[in-house]
Order: sequence, then C-alpha cells, then structure tokens
Amino acid sequence: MKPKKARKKFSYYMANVGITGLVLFAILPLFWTFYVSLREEVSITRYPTMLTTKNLSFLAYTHIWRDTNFPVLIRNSLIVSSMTVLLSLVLGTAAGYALSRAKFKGRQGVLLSYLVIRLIPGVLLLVPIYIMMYKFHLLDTYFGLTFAYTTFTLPATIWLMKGFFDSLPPDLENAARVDGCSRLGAMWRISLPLVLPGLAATGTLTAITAWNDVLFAIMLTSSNKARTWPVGLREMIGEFQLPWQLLTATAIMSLLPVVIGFALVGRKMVAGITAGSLKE
Amino acid sequence: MIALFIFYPLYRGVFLAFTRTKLLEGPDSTLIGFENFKNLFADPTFITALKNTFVFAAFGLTSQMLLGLGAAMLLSKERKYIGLIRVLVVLPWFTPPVVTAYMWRFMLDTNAGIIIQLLKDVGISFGEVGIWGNPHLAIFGALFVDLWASYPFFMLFILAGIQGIPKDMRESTSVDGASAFQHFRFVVLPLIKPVLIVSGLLGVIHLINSPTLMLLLTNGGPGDSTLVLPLYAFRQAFQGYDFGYASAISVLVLAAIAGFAMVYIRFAKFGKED
Repeated sequence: MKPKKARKKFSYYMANVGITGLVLFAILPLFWTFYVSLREEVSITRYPTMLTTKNLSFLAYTHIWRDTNFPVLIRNSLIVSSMTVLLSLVLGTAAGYALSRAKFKGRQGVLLSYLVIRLIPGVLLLVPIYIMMYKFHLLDTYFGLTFAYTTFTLPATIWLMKGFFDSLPPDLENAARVDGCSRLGAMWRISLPLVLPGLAATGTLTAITAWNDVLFAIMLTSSNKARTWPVGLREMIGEFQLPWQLLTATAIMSLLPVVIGFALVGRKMVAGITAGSLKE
Repeated sequence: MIALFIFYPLYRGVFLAFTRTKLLEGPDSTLIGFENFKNLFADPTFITALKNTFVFAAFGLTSQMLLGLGAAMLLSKERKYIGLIRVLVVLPWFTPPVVTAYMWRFMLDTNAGIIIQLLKDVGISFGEVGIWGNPHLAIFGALFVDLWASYPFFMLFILAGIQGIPKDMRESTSVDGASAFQHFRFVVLPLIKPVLIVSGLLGVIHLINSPTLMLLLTNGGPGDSTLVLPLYAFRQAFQGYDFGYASAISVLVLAAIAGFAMVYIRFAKFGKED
C-alpha cells in the first residue's frame, strides 16, 4: 500500500509542476513585456536581461497618450468594435433564436454553411470585399470595417446564441404564451433575460475579434479617419532600429481591454465556444 | 448579410482567379482561363511558399495538438483555483496577433531579446543573425510563437472532451487493475477521438489560412524562407495589385483545404467503424 501512496503523491507533485509551467508559459511573456515598457530605452538594449526597479516609469505611456495619434486610433477601434458587437448581436440573436426554435427546411444547410465559411481563406475574400467597398464608397469608414467584421463574426454569433437558446426548456416560453404573451413577447421577456450571460460572453468574443484584427484594418483603411490601433502599431516599426519601449507600452495598452473583457466573462466565453462546436 | 459578404465575394474571388486583373492597368478584368494557374506552377516563389506552408502546417498541428493534449490532461482534474488557472492558460489565444508578434519578435531579438541572451549565458548561441535573420531557423521561431498563441485552442477542445467522460470510469478501470497509462490509452483516447478529429481539422484550417502572424512576425523573410501561401497572395494583391494572380493562389488553397477536409472526414469516419 505504501509505494502506491508515495507514487500518488509524486504524480500530484508532478502535476503541480506541470500546471505552474503552463501558467508561467502563458503569462511570463506578457509580464516581461509590461516590465520592459517601464524601462529606459538605453537600458533595454544594453542590459537586456537586467532586473531592476531603478528608473522605472510610465513615461512611455504618457508620451504615447499625449504626443501621438494613438488615442485617435484607439477611439476608432472602440467605435468599430462596438458597432460590430451591436450589429452581430442583433442579427445573431434573432437568427440563433429562429434556428433554435423553428424547424424549417434548409436548417441543416444554414448550420453547415457555418463550417464551410471557416474553410474559406480570408485572403480570397479580401480582394472582392475591397473592390465592393471601393464601389460603395465604404473604404476608410467605420461602416466598411463594421460590415467586414460582422460577416466573419456573425456565423459564430448565430452558432453560440443557438446553443444558449437550446439550453432553455421550451416549456418556459409555452407557459408564458398560455398566460397571454405573444411569441415575440415571450422571447423578449422570458428567454432573452435568461440568456443574458451568454449574450455578454458572445458580445465580448465578437468585440475581441474586431479589436484584434489586422488584415482587414490594413486593407480597408488609409487614413486616421477609421484606422484602428493594430495598423498604427504596425506602422511604428521602423526599418532598422525598433523603439522597444514605445512598442511594448503600446502593446500593453491595447491588450488591456482584452484582458478586462476576458476577466469578466472569460469562463462563460470559453464554455460557449467548446459546447457549440462539439455538438456536431 | 452572409450571402452578400461571403458568397458574393467568394463567387467574385473565384471568378477573378480566371481573369487578368491588375489594378495598375485599370479596373477592368479580362477572362484568360487557366493562365494564372499555369503561371503559378512555373513560379519558383509559389513552390517555395507551398513547401513552407506544408512545413508550417505539419509541425504546427503536431506540436500544438500534443501540448494541447498534455495541458488538457493536467487541467482536467478539479483542484483549487482551477477556473482561474484555465482562464490564464487560455489568455494567449485571445491576445491580439499584433501584440503576440511584436512581443515575441522582441523576446527572441538577437541583441535585446531576453530569451536569446539567457540562452547565450548557458552556452546556446544563435550567432550574429539570431533566429529571425537565419533562413533555416526563422520558420521554427514562427512555429514556436504560434505554439504559444494557438495551443490553448486545442487544449480547450480536448478539455471539453475529457470532461464529457463520466468520472467513475477511472475508478472502475483501476478496480480492474489498469495503470494510469492503460486507462489513458484504452479509455480516454478512444473517447476523445472525435474531439481530436474536429479540433485537428479546425486547427489545420487556421494554420493554412491565416497570413496574419507571418505578416507581422517575419513578413516572409529572411529571403522567402517563411513565406506562406496566404501571405504570398496578400502580397500579390496589395503590393503588386495583381488581383487575378492573388485570387488564383487563394483558390488553390481553398481547393486544397476542401479536398483535405473531405478526405480527412472520410478517413475519420472510416476509423470509427473498426
């Protein structure tokens, strides 16, 4: 009995080491980046591995906030992300609800198209979308980016919302309808409040997708009118000398909204993604 | 909306692949049949990109799935703070690609990169050019960065699969005298096989389709040593403004992925019947 107990203890110990390793692997690079953003440029390149608390400051942050156009880009990103969330949620909730409740013909087709869309290389759509936006005069506008992002987030939104609606017992709505609620009223007053956490998670996921995108942002914007922050960060990169302190500070600033959103609804989001995809 | 923004562009994209459309020559396209495709196979850069894409996808899938499986096994048992731990481990997957790319470009930088410097201190040196300047190493650098950013995706899927297995299963196999490894090999692995299949497919699609990481990390360099197909298409379209050629590359990628997916699903179903 004794060696078995010892082995169990050993494997528990090993699991702890493994888990600590995984967590460090995930967050140490982010912490190091944050630390570097507080250091002076000279010391970053001259003593790359030095750990010190001397001369640390938020100077890079105040510099970026005051003297560059980065706040404008952040504002653009916030606007585009919010518009994308709004549009995706309105359309996605309606479609997800319909798919969850109604049993109409071609239902399978709609669900299948979700998977097919994932197969299509984004680059293949980039060119025609660029030409379309050009024709509709939507290049370099909030709406142009919003439409492009919604296209890519909508399938996932529909899929997730359908999953959340599926998990509600249909009797709940039936009871409300017996009590004299209309179909729409039952959805609005009974089901929607119940899927609110799901709605928040889906919205956050959509927001992060729009916030993080680089490819469409590079292509569909050409001035500060609608340009988003990833494009701005990319343009900070010079040919030879990289301004590490500014780069890292900008990166950390842009990461902040993602971390906050993730901290609030991360668990629900993660659960929704896997549950939705596994029902195949 | 999906029809307007996905299926119409898809149709236009495939159509463009059969035309000569160069923005520098005006907005018109002329139908030229398969000429773009013919040119592709005579284009040495395309062949290089094809090879790189294959290497990237093969190594990427293997490394990410193995680490994802290991991590999922570790994180599947309930313990203190497990919810927080899971969220932290998944964070890299949601980190903006721009941040991921520049962060790692920095940490693996020859002069200022902490990892390179620490490795130098223990005697592992990457020489003057470091990782990003070495045509043989750069793609493995990119693979490492993508491992960091993308393995949580596999971890999540596999974790969900493991959690679907009834908890008392391990008890009954241990009564029968099965070791932990035997339990994993003969009970867990067959049960999570469908999850591995689905996540593998989605993972490969992601690895092949997305030019974002390479665009930001190496931009294909040094030389063409990390040029992958979607990045080549992106370059043709928005630096060379040759929309026809770019579409032809993308259509080939789409055809390859669709073909792969079909064979893969057929194969996966076939395995299930044994």
